[in-house]
Amino acid sequence: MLEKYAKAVTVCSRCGMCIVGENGYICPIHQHTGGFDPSVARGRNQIARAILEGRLEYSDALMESTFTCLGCDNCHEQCKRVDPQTGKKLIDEAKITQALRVDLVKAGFGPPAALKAVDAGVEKTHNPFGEPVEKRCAWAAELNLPKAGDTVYFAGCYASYRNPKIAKATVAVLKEGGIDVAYLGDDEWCCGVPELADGNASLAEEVIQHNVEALKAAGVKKVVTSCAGCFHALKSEYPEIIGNLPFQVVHSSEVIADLIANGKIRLDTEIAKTITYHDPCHLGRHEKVYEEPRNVLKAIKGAKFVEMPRNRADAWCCGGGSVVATAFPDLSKDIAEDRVQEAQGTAAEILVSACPSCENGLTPAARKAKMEVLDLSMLVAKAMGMKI
Amino acid sequence: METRESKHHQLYEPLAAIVGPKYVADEDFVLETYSRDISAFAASKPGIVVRPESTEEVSEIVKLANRTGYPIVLKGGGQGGSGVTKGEPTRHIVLDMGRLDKVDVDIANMKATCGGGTRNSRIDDALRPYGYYANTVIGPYFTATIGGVTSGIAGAGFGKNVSSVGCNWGHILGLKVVLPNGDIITTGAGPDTNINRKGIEFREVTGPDLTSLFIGSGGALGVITEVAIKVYPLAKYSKAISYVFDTMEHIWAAQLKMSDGVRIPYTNMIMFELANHMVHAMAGDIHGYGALFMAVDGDSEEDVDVRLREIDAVCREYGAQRGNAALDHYAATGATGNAEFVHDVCSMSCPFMTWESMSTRSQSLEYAKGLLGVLKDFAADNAKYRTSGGLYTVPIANTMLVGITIHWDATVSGVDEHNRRLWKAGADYMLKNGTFSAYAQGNHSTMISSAWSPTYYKVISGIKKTLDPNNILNPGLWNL
Repeated sequence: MLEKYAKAVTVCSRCGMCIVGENGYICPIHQHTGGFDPSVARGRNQIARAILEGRLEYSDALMESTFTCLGCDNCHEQCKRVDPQTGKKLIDEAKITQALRVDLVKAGFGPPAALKAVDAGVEKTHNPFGEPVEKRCAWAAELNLPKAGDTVYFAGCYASYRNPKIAKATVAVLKEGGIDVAYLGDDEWCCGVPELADGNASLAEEVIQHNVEALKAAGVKKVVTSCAGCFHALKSEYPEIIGNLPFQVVHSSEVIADLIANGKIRLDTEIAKTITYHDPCHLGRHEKVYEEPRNVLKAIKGAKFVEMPRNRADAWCCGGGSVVATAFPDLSKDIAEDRVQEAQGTAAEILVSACPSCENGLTPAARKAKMEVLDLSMLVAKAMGMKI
Repeated sequence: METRESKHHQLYEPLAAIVGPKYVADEDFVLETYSRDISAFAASKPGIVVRPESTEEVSEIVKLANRTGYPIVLKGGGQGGSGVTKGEPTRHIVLDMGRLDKVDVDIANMKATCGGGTRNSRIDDALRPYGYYANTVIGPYFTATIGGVTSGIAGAGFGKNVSSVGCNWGHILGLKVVLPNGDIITTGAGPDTNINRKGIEFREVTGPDLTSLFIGSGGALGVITEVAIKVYPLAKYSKAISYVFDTMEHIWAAQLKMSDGVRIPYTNMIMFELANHMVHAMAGDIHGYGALFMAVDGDSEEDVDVRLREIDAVCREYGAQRGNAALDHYAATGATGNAEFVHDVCSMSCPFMTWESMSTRSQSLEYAKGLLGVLKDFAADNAKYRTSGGLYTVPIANTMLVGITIHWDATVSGVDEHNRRLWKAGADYMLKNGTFSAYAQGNHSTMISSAWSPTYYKVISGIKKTLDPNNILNPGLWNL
C-alpha cells in the first residue's frame, strides 16, 4: 500500500515544519516519547522512502514506533509542501503512516497485541471492545426508534458501549428540534476507524461494506453521527475506499448549530459556568468543522466561552487517536493530561468535546484535575432543561 | 563498518546511563532518519543517536566519546543544506540537540538565554508577551535552531535587521560551550572571565574574543549548548512595500544607493528575481527582472512614512513600478522574518542547495552575473532533471549577500547526482572569485577550507588539535 505514496515520501523536503509551528511544538508523540525523528512526519516519510527503495527492512521496533502515530493530522496542517500549479498539498502524512501500518501487518509485523484484541472483537461482535452485540443498542431500548428513515443516527461504539448518555442526549436534542431519526440497532457495526488504524485493511473494508449496505437498506438520505471518528470515516474514508455514497453525512454539532440558528431549539436553561472546547482531530483538522460547535456553546444561556491557546487547526490531540489509547495507554494518558492542563489554564470549569472517544480519553485526566468533561450533546441537552 | 556482537551499539548502555534509555536510539530505522539534511548531498548513517537535556549531559557524552574513541556529529534542527558531516558511518554518535530548548528571558538586562537546540520561533514565542524579539533568522524560522544557526552559518545567520545592522554575531552576548574534551566554558563577559559573575552579561570582554571562535565554526571546536542573545523592543509601527524593476542593473543600483546612506530608510530588504516561482506567481500581470521587498519599522507612523517616501524616490529614480498587494504582503512577511512568510515558504523552499555567499558591494553585480552564468551552463541538464535556481540578494552592512537557491524535483531519477555536479561548479566559481559559502557545515566546509592559505590552515588545525586532540567532534569538518 505504501507504493501508492512513493511520490509523496520522495518530495518530503525533511525541513521539519512538522515539529514546531506557530503554537510551539505540534506533535504530541514527539513531545511525549524520546522525541527522535521517527516520531514526526519527516522521519516517518524518510522511513517509508527507505523501505520503498529497499534500504530498510521491517522490524518489531519499527512496527511499534509506527503505531504510536495519533493520526491527528497536525503535521499535515503545518506542512506547506504544495504543488505550485494547483496549490494542493503533496504529502498526506497520516495516510502514509496508515499505509505503512498496513504493509507492516501484511509482512507479519504487528499490530501490537492490544490491537489484535480489537480486531478479534470487531470480527466477533462488531465492536472494538469485544462486548456483546445486544449491549450496543441497549441505550435505545425504550426510545422506539425506527430502523429505517430519511435520517439515521449512527451512534458509534464509544457512545454505544462507553457513554450511552451521549447517544441518548443526541437523539433527544434532534427530536426536540423536529428531526425524526432512525437507528440501525445491531446492524450498526464499528465504523472501521480502528481497523483502518491498526493496519487491518480487509477487516475495515468488510465493516465499511456492511454499514453502507445497512444504511442503503434503511433508505437513508442523511446520516448524523455524534462521534468525530465515525463522522470522518463515513464522510471521507468510505468514499475513498468504496466510492461515492448515496447519502449525506453530517456531524451532530453541525445539525445542532443549524437548529439553534433557525430557532428550532433554544439553550435557555442557564449554565453559569466557564466552558472551553477541545477540537477533536477527526472533526477539526480532518473535516474542518471548527465553528459550529463553538456557535452552539456560545448560544448557551449564562455560559462564558473561552478558548485554549491551541485551538482549531492548532489544537492538541486528546491522545486517543489512531488506536494509540488502546495500544499505548500510558502514552495516551500523558497526552490527555497535557491537554487537560491546557484547559485548566483557561480557568474553564467544563471541558467540552464533540467526540465520545475524546471524552473517554480526557475524563480520567480531568478527574485528577477536578475538571468536568462533557460531550457537546450532553451539555446541549442540559442547556435545554433535559435530564438524560 | 561497525560490527556488533550485541543487538545494540557499544555505547548504548553508557549513553543510557547518562541521559536515560528513553533518549538513546540505535535501531536502523531511527538511524535512517538522521542520515541526511535537506540537501541532495550524500547520506551518512550514524551508529547511535542521543538526545541530551543539559550542558552537563552533553559534557558527559563528550567525555565518554573521548574515552571510547567514537566520534560525535551534531544535529540541530536538521535544516542544514551542506550535507550531514560524514563522521564515521555506522559508528559515530549523533548528538540531537533538540531537548536543549529552554529560554530564560531577562528583560531588565535586555537578553535571553536560549538552549542550543531552541528553534528560532520559540525564542520569539517566549519574548512576544514582553513586547520584545530577538534577531535570529528570516528563515528557516520554525525549523533551524539557535545553536545550529550560530555555529553553522557565517556571522551566526541573518536576522530581522540583517540588511540594516548586519549579521547576528553582533547580537550574541556569549555562549556556553562544551569543549571537545568535555570541559564547559562560557564566552563573552560570562562567569569564566570573572569567577564572581553568574551569567553572560555582555559581549565585550577584555581579552581574546572566544565567542567569535565558535561562531561559524560548524561545531568543530565545541558544542554550543546555550546562546545568550540581545533582545529588542518590537517596533511600534511597521509597514512594508515592494517595487518591480526592469533590469538587473537598475535593481542593483537602487539597492546600493539605499544602503549607503547615513540613515538607511528600511529595516530589512531582500531582492528576488521574478524567475523565482513563488515571486513570479505573486507578481501576476506585473513583468520585469526582479522585485525589491522592504520592511520599514519606526517609532511613529510619520517616521515610517518619511522613510517610505525616501525609498519611493530612489526606486522611481531607477524606473521601478510599485508592486501589487500580494508582493507588498510578501514584503511585510518575507522581509521581516515574520512567522507567516516562513510558515508558508519553508516546506516549499526545501529541499534546496545553495550558493549563498558574501560579495564586496563594488563587485557584487558582476559576481552575481557570473554565478547565474554557471546555472546557465547547466541549462540542458537542469531541464532534464527539473532543477532550477533563483537569485536573491541582501545588502548587509558593507557587503552584499548574493545567493542562488537550487531547487529540484526530487522524483526525477538521478537528480541528486546532477545537483551535486551543479553545486560543485558554482562552488568552484565562488572560490575563484574570492568569496565563500555562508554555510559552515558539511560539504560547504570542505569547499571553503580548500581555499585556506597554509598559514590559516596551520593556525586553525593547531587550535583544533589543542582543543580536540582525539578529533572526536565532527571529524572531517574543515578538512580537519
